[in-house]
Amino acid sequence: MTEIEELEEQALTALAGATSLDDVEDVRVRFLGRRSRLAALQKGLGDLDAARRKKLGQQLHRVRASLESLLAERRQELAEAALATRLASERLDVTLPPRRIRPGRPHLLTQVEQEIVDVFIGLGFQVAEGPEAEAGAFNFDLLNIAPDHPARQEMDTIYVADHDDVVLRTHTSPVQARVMTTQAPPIAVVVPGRTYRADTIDATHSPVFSQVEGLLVDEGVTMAHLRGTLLAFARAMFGEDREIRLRPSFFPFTEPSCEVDVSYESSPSGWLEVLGAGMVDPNVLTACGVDPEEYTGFAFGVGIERVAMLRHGVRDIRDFFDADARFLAQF
Amino acid sequence: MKLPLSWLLQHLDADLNVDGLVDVMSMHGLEVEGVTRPGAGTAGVRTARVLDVRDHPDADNLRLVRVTGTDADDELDVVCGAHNFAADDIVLHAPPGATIPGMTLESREIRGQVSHGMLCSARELQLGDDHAGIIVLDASTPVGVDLGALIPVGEPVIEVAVQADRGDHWGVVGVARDLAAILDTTWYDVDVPEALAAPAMDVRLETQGCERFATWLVDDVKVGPSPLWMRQRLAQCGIRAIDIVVDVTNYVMLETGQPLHAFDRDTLQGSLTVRAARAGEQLTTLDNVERTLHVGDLVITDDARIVSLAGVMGGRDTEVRAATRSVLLEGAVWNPRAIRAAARRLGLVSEASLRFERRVDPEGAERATAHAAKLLAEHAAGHLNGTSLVRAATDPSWTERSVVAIDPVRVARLLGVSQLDTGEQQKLLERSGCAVDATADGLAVTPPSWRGDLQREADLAEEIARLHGYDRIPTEMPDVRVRGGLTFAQRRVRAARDAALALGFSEAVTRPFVGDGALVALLPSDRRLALANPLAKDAAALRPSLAEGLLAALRRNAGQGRPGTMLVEIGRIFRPEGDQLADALDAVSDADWRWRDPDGAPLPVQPLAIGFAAHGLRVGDRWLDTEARVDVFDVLAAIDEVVARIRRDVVLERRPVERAGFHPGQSAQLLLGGHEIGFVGALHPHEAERRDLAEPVIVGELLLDPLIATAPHAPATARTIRRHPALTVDVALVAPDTVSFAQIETAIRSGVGELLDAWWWFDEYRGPQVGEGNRSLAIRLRLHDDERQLTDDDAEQVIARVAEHAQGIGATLRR
Repeated sequence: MTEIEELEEQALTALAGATSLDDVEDVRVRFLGRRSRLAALQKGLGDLDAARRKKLGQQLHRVRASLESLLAERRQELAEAALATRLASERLDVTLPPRRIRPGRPHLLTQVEQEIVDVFIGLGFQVAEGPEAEAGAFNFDLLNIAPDHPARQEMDTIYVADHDDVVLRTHTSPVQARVMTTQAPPIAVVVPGRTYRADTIDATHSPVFSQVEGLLVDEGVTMAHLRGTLLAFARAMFGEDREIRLRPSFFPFTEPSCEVDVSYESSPSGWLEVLGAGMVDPNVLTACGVDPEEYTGFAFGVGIERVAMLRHGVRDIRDFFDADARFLAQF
Repeated sequence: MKLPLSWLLQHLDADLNVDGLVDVMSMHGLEVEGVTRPGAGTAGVRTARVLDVRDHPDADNLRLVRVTGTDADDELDVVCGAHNFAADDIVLHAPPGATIPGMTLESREIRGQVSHGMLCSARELQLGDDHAGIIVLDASTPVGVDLGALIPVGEPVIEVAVQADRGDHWGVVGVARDLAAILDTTWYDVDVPEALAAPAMDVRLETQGCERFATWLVDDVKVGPSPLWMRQRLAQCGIRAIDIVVDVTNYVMLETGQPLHAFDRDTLQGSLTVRAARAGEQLTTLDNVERTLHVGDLVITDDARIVSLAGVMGGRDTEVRAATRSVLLEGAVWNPRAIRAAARRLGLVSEASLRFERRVDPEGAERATAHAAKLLAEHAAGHLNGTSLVRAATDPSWTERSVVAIDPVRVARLLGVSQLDTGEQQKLLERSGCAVDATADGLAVTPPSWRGDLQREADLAEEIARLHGYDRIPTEMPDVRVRGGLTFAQRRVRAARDAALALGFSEAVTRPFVGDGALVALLPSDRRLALANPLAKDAAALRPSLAEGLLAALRRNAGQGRPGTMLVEIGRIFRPEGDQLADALDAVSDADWRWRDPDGAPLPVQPLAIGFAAHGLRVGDRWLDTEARVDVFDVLAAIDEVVARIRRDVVLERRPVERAGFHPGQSAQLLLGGHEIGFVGALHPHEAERRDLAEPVIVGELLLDPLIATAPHAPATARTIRRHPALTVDVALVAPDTVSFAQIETAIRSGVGELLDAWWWFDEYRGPQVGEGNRSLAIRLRLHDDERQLTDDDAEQVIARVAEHAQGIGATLRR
């Protein structure tokens, strides 16, 4: 065996024993490095005659090439083994709940309000607003509720102290008057907002609650239009299979007036009262500067809490106002 | 109004059971609140004669009563605690096997004596609330008869919520009459005697408040208990039986809707006068309360004194008593407004005032009085000895009936029901009792006397629709001729909410009431918008700030053991006009932000604000990070984002501020154009402790209205995305603690100039290397030029300029 063959054999043995990339590098330095025996033999080639130089040179070249290729192969093997180890060590339980910043939730009343408002925007309505501490004139007088009208007492009004005739609005209807006194027909608005009554707090009563008022005033507006609009609303909010029924009722600011029921399977009668509505009373139109000979209109008022309670099974109206995170997070 | 079924059907020709009736009523303006069946469950109770009454041998208060239902074979002993009867009386006996509401009778021993069932009181049979004694029936009552054969015990009673404009529904006959119109059938009025020629009483009307005053004189009255059927109906309607005279006036009121009053004729001196009360006059009413009358209250006097507060309550001294022999029945028609005012003022809302307020049928007073007189003749052995009627010289406005002209074409169009032609409308109105004449222009309609609500075409349109059936109104979509959608401001409010939610704040809606000592975050002041009739002491005023409601919500959540809560609320805050909040709104925006009454006078200040409150743990960088607590920067960041969603063109200036209730070193005013429109602060430790909240507790508040009012409406314009790569340079500035970051930021901005693309601070260091009272702030700058690639030279120049500008604020560059 020549020295070269011996070296090759030693190198192969060493390489077989290499278990890490560092070991492989040690083998390379020892057998192929600048100070290795192979390098020395390479350097000594110049001292040899041409024939031996050629033969030995070819031998050296073959061994070097072979070793380099084996080294590379070994490196590759070890790298893959290391990667496999790393991948195994990095295994995650991907069924763990992910870490996340939870965005807050819009309040259920906001969600329902926006949904109602958006239904009417889809039907072409605009959105109007008004103050919550409201002039009695807007809350009552312009809406055909005279100072000694029984309905005025029945409204359980909360009055603002130290002010002449300022109340916490008992409904969103005063915004009807605000809109009609400042805009000419055609008028199509919905009015979301908070409203107040001097009610003692219990599961179904709250001194503060929310309504969406609607008003359409134009030439030739009819009660059939009111019915069509409210049917569209009921189906959008409660399901496409719903029907509505109108029952005669009384509101000072509408004539004819009606309560509107939505069909409800779980109710004993098959219907649930959802809102009040009617054709705008001519007295209201006149008081607000709209000529009742020229224009007619309809108006309606929906309780947002009522809709939310029906749709979402909320049993206690207090839940809306207590800001319990366990309630807020549900919707 | 409660309507016993048998009573209603006595006046109505209808072949309907209670469910059918309830359906018809619900769909035609008689809102049914419920159906009850007082006395339901009563079976086998019979009339019995008391044979004899002995003392119970072993119990002082009990007696042994021998009763018979038919003949001697049927004698049974009953132990009874009542003492209001004697031998020969006819009583109600529930024998063994009979049932009364909630109970089945059996023979059982009571203190050693076997009792075969019981003798029944009114309360036990739900025929009233009397439980002091048992029911003793009229001596003419047959014995051994089942109670159900005498009265419809347990029958349905329909309760109706009467509409405010339908005074005619406050009587059984009125409801029957309306149902007859709805069902197109017949109704039956009460049968009354003719007026007598002899006068009952001399009456003078000296006020406008009385339209008519009818009286009947009934002599020789025997005041005793009313018949069982009348007591049942009173009980079904929730009215206590007293004696035949009082019961008859109540019974007739329930039946006809016309309140009546009965005087003991012998206590009246001279004649009666109806007039307005004068200053200081007093009356002791039936309920034994001495009342000082208001000038103008309507009163009835005799020659000596006031005897009745008209339409509200009679006087004590002239009321009917057991010994009364001569009764003067009064049925009058009073001005609804006057009665309403008097009843409110005296806090005395009676069954009578409630009906007068809602307008009684002016034509009904005479009939009702006559009906009562007849009942007293029938059931109290009275003799009818006189009738009088006095009427106002001119019809007052509140009973006036005018002819209403309607255009049937317009009515049909308003209702959207084309098949309602003139003839059909006329027929429907006639069913309601209207007199209708066809005219050249349409119909001339005279409503019946009991329908004060029918005054205009719109009222008659509703009546036509109601009788035609609301369910026959078709369904059509209107042609909405405006451009719908949210306004700019409304979209901005939604964007503001979205921003707050995205940053982890959950939306709360709190009741906007506060009590004393409420914390005010933004533009604090002591001025409150107080309520005249607050619901509670801790809800005496409207909130001046969103802080208080949100802090209470934090507390409730902390009480549930939640380690941390972050809440946002959007709502109005309230201050009286003249508050510094109004000054700030005036200063910031030129827009007229005030709400005004119809005369242009300003209403209380009530701008829309967004409020934040956060405390405890927040979600940290790692799971289960128990160290990540909210701080003022969380809320400042949220407000910055809200502002950015409304106005891209401004950054609110932050200025440290000391404010009551807040941490002196962790509070900032947020200024727009130098005026506070926002505030963020950590709660002062004392304040947090007072509220039992673990620190830190952070509160923030921002006015939305002025921000939105001044926001540019122009859409955002795109900025060119840079093509040349950016150059990053870090600088560290050492400055005394008194130099705020805001100052340092200004120095850097002016130092770097136009090349500054973005920057952020990444380290704050205090320690020996920078000296006591100083800090070092490390800031990374991203530099950029659209036209060329920046070089190290540019970086050097920027650093030099920053150093120069830093010097101006007392900071030095640390290399």
